[in-house]
Amino acid sequence: MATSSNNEFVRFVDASCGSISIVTPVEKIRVREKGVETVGVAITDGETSTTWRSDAETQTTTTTTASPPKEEATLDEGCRAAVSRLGARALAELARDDSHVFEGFAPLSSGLEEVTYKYGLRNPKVNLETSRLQCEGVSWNATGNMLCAVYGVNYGSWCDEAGSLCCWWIFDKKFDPAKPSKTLEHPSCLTAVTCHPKRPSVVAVGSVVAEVMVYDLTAEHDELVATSEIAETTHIDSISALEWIQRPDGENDYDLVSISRDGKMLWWHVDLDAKASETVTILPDRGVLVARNPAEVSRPTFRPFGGTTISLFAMPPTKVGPLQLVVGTIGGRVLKLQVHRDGYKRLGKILGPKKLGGRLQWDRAAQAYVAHLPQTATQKLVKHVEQFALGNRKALVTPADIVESKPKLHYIYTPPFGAVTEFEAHVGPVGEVAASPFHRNVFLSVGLDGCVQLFSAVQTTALVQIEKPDDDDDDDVNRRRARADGDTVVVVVPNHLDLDNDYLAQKRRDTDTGFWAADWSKVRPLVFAVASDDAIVRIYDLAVSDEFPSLELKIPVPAGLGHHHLDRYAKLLSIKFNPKQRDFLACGDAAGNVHVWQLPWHLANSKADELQLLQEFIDSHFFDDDAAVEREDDDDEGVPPAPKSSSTH
Amino acid sequence: MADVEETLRRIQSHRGVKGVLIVSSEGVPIRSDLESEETNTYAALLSQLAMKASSVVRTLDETDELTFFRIRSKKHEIMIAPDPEYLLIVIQRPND
Repeated sequence: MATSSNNEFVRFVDASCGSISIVTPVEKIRVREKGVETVGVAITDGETSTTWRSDAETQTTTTTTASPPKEEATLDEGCRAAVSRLGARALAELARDDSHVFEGFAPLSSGLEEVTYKYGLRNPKVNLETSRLQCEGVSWNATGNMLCAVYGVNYGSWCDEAGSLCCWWIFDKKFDPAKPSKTLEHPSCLTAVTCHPKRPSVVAVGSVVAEVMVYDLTAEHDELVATSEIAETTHIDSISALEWIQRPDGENDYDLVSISRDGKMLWWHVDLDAKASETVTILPDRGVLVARNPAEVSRPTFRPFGGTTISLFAMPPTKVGPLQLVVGTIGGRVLKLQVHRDGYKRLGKILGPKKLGGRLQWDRAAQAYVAHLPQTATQKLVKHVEQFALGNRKALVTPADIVESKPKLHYIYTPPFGAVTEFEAHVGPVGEVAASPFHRNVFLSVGLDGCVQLFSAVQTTALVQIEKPDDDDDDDVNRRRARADGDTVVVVVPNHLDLDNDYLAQKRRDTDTGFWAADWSKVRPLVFAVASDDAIVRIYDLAVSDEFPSLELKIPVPAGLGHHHLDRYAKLLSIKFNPKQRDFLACGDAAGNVHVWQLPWHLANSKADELQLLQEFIDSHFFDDDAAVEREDDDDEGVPPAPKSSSTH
Repeated sequence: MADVEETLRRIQSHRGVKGVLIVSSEGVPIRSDLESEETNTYAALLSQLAMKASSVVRTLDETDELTFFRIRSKKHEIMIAPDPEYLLIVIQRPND
């Protein structure tokens, strides 16, 4: 206050001196006057307002009926009688167990259902003119709130651009489709992404130069928690797919399994609770070579099949027995492998170093390598590694020594456990295999040959093969197709995007379609989606048709794009249903976009008996001939009755 | 007549019940535990529907009478017990 008044004085130096003396007497006079006036006025005001209030009272009684009365309002006699009568009736109705009335009830769709093209997410780094980056993979996180996409170039050529991982919190207030909520750059192209099934902030990423990385997006300093070491014994080609697999010894403990084009499947264990301030370098715990015949692994000419995709079969609740995996290869093979889990048991609670029959002590991590190996391989490996370690004057064997000693692959990695089942192959690379999350034997495979195959693991031939429907004028086909379409689904697309681009429409008609990716609905056992390279996502509902898609979602494109850009828009490389927000579907394309749709009600809500319908569907599609394999199955329920014929081949 | 209060309380405490209204047959709310705006809307719309429904039942069969009706929607179930002079409306959220 003092300073401000000083300032005023500075401004009005000359005049202010006089004015001060005048101001004070005026104030004094005012005070006196007010005192006189207020007393008089206050009395009169008070009297008038009371009369007004009495008026208001009469009004409140009239408004009781108009404005909603509160609970305390009294009810008159007639009303009370009515209420007790009606109340008893309402209570009886409420108490009536009418659950059976709605059994098997599926809410009728209104006939006009909407599917909304929610977002076209773009990575601002991908400039169509200058960058070849494509969206190689998408994954929803454990809560379904975050969508992760990785950018890179996998097929065809070496990638000289920097890859990136982009994450969108799509239900966040600050969400912007054109600006990822988080972007993590990586020097090399990224090719695979999988979010942790339980921890919302943990993402595993694979790169074109064979790195496997784990990010924790909530980490304070460095989001990169762990990264693999590139060595001759780890992956030596681009990572095709990643999958988190629950460890038998812990409910929330997961191993990361990577499959690469070099034909190895490697198990990585990352301790996510260790709050290390630096990135940990990880080595695989164990590995399995993708092979058809376990005996061939030790032959010098052996080359494992380069894998493109991996999927884990739904586990039996008891979680005993080997892991069941299905793998797709570059050569079009579809293989079901089993992986033994006993190694974990053998490793047990050993914490300290231990001798493994040789002369040196092995630390725990090095023992983990050996734990999964059969006895004969262990001896060979121990001999080989200790020779190397002794030569380098080491006293304790660590995993690094195993890697540096460069053992033969079949010394440290095993062939699949037991018999490998080979299924009807694709012509050309397998785009994706996906095991049903609801059924322990059902999986589907899609290939770049334009074929979708639905399998039961107990039969090597496909239950159903779906090819791209021909767009001819055959009435019959059109009629059946119309039936498959069922209700008309309205696709809502933002105004600035074009759904019926002429060039893409022609491309759809003229060219052969390849399928890059597929995913099962996480809520409807009979529904899966397939991403193709002709700018259409096809959603099949086996309850409606196993021949025609129940819904075709065309990719909306901005107007005015050149043909070579449109070709990239058309190539859809990955697709994933949201595990929690059940009507959301995400799909990544080769132009670097991630498309997100909100599906209509009937595709996102399961009917009561749908699991049984799936079983019936499988049963009715079994071949009754020699093609069926008879399998000594350890599992019983969930397996359709074995085909009558015995295996004769 | 404490039993009336008791009846209402029992209805309100039923699982999933979101609101209970007593409305005169002309659609004037008499008692409600909903917000005022909601109460007025429910009262006005449902009294008309109740009248229509009871007239339908009466027209189909002169000797018949509407005693109760329920409307199930994706989000709610509305139960209406009609009387010549009053309606009792219960709004339930069946999934809760």
